[in-house]
Amino acid sequence: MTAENLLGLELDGELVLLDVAQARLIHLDARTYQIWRACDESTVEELASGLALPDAEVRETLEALAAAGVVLRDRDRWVRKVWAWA
Amino acid sequence: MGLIDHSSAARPLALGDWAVHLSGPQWAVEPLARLLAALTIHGDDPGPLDLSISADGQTAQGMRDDRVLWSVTLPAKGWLGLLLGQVVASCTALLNRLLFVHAGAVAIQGRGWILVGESGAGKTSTVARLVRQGAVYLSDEIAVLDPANGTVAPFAIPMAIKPWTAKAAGRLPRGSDVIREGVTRFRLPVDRAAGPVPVQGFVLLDHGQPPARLRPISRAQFLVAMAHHHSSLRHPHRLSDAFAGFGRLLRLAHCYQLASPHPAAGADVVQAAARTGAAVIG
Repeated sequence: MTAENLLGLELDGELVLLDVAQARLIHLDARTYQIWRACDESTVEELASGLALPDAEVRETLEALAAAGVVLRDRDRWVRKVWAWA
Repeated sequence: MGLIDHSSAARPLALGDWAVHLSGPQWAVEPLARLLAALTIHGDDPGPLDLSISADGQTAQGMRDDRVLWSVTLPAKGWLGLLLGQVVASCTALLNRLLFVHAGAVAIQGRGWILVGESGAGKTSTVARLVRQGAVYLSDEIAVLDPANGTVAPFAIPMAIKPWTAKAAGRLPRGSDVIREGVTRFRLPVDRAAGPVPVQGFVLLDHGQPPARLRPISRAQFLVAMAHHHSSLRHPHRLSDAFAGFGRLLRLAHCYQLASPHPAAGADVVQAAARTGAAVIG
């Protein structure tokens, strides 16, 4: 997915992503946005430690984000898909 | 539809920056022209629309630059409302810069309130009651929004008042019935906005138990909810700019969800929020 295909809009600490190809909006509440923003080829443990969140919560969130198609998993590392601000 | 008067008519309408040309039997063209008479579009050019109704009144089509945009078969009952809907849909689909959302809209103390809801959610009844209480009419069906200026513009087609709408609204706002079709009165309020007003509030209309309650929701939640309603986001060629534009507009406004057992109660809490700026009402 290229930056042109995924646009982001930050509203009051929450994020709405537009998947242009599928014409769908994805809402990330403040906590989910925090985790998503930190996904920079990090492991669950690194993310949880950096954000001071329980591992289980971070893992569950990442799996939901992966199902929504906005993060990628490379072995045990997670990375945000390429995106651009709207 | 009437079959006695076979005279034909052609009516060019200058609706602000939008040119609409109506042609067909006079008995069909004239009432449609009357419904559109107060509508003006400013700040965008949807391109000219040619709407022709067949001589027998059985079909109609909308064209732009010799390209057929739509064709419809006209029912014996409800044909006028259907044609008005086709004109509105043509306009919203052809906007280039302005955005729209299926919503009622009023101005309260000079600020725009946009009431988003499905058909049957009570948009017309809520707008009617608000206007009767002193709000200024922008539209009961389509909110036309300017993301560059943060405004909502009048889209002054008459309110389609059905018996249950009138009952839900209580007394109707001052105005005139432009025309009647079956049980539907197309009523144009007297108190109409002369031009765009700054947006102040976006409200999602929802049914709820008494008492009516208006609660703030996040702008992100509102944007996602709005995507479930007909708006510029449904037009693929507008998707990206509509997304950015709605974001700009929402940043300028407060967002609410209105849970109301009936439109009259809902209108009262919207009115109170608009006048007092209270965050939670009800």
